[in-house]
Amino acid sequence: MEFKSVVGWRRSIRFFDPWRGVEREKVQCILEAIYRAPRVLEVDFVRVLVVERDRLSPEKMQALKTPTTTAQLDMAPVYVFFYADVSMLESALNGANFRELIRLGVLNPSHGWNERFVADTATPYLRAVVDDPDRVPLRPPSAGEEAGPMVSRETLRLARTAIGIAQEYALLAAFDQGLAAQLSGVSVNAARAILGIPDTWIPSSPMLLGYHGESREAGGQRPREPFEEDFFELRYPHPFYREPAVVQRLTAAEMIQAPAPFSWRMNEVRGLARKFGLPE
Amino acid sequence: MGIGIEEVRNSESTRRWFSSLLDLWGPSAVRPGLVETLARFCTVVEKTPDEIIDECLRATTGGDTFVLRTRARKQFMDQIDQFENQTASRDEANVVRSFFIHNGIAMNPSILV
Amino acid sequence: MEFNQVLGRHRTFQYFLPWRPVERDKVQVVLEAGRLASRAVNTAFSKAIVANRDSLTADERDRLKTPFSGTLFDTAPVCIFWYFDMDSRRVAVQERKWPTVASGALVEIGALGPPHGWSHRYVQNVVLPEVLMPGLDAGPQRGGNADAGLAMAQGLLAAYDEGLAACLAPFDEAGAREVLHVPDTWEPVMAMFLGYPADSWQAAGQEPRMPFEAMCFEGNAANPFVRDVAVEESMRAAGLIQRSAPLPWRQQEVRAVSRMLGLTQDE
Repeated sequence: MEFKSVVGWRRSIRFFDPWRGVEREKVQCILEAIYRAPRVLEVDFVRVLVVERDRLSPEKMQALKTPTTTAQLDMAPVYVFFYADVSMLESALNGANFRELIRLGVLNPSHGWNERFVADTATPYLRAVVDDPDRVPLRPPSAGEEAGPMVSRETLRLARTAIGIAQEYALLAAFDQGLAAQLSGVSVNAARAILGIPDTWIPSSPMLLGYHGESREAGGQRPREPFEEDFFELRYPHPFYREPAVVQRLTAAEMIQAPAPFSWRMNEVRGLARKFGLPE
Repeated sequence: MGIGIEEVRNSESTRRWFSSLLDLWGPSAVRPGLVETLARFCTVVEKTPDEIIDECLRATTGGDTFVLRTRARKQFMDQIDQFENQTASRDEANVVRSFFIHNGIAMNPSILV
Repeated sequence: MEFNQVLGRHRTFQYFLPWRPVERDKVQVVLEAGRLASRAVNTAFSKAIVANRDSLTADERDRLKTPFSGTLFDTAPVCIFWYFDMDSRRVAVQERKWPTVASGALVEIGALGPPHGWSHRYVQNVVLPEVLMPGLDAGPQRGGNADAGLAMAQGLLAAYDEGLAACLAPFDEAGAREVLHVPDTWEPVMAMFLGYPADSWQAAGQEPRMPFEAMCFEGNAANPFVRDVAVEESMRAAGLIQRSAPLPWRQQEVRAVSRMLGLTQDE
């Protein structure tokens, strides 16, 4: 599909056809996309874990559910979990990734990159992030468990950015494959136990994956606050002027689509409730 | 203990449920038989509609927000599942679930495949 | 462009044609894409400020630089400063001006509803007090936000789709606060440098990654996802997987481009 059309057709799909599995090659296509996503400061933070719903026991399924994600988890045949391994920042302090990029001609002396710069400037910059004194536990204490190890908020900032980039690549790749997807909530502690997640991995919302159980439109593109609330030019709060002709161009390219709600959406949702035996 | 149809119909939580159904889905959602189904469930659990909701949502000190009592919610979820087995009807059980949901108590059953 | 070709185009672009401006409409496309990215509870966590290089003085640019972005600030014609607004959740909950979960809009439009256990009353009486409001009293909390990364990534891909080269690098937070008048509640994500490439689209070639099997798992965190070579080949044909760095001519290209741009060639 054209890139802009993929962006336009992506929206949070909450009804999947539960009986239709996702072909393994499509899952791999999504992983290949994530694999090519930019790294944050060349640190290999991201970890991705694919789980097939039908390989989970009923007890594990139940444990993953939160009060409002029961139906989605039942419907989506595949879950893709995202984590960032914060220990990778510490591992990157040896500068090996930077040196590799210098060797390959990605980072060059024209921009100040050389062995000395890696040793004296680039890796100390990472060290300052690791050692930043503003620290929080990796995991808050929970019933029967102590809090996780302490980590700097700066490390979390980079790690969460890396996860977000990976999630975006994954979502778009899913829709490009003709699939439906949504970032959803699960019980984080249950997922950690079930999937054997190491202590240094921080979680984010998993992506539920499957084929559309509702229309592709899903009621229309989700509403947003005005463009001028989010984007500024040169000095805040001077808004970035939104040129209508550009909006028109993006509408023609299917990136900007008819906004929710569609007049028939509530009838569709009632129909879907009946389709899956869910309450109205 | 039997719970009277009129008591169910006139309870605040039932009125709230109907108002929310009307608001979200339109007049066709407030269909005949809803009160009767809810009354049957109330009889099974021996509680009025308002008592059921009060058990699941505890008002905070200010009274304008609530805390979900997860244990009570879980108990009612199990009782609805039993009700579904007894009536052999997902539709009837979903009527009861709808009553909970529109009163602010998240609830969903497993999907039917 | 076709989706996989856009993704395959990603490089850490370092060389921009400093004299070729970026059309304003292309910058807007980048922002429009960021605005459409997925986001939790439909809240505007992501913010951005666009600055044309030539609208900044040399001194202002110097104050924005970090070791990773020095030359980029002097050569890339446009920089977008991406931020996470740490106050966005409070604004969504307390002001309810825009269509978010907190305002009830997602129930209203049928995105969330009774089939999934949601109702207006559930939002107002449970989601708000139990999910969205806890922690607000502590004020803005640093530590990043994945949704801000999502928006920036979608913007980055839109830049490639518009035929631009782009690069993400950190910028100086305190300098940006002064130069761009950034609110105190905004936490930096990354700077996105935009322009037309001075080197080829292949640049150094596709950049290395850790082994696929060390990043992607199946079933549990100890079980690598087994990669099917045929799928890899199909993604190569689609343009997602491209020739790996280094390309044989890269050093000559770098020297020539550095000469053209007046950049040092000293090792």
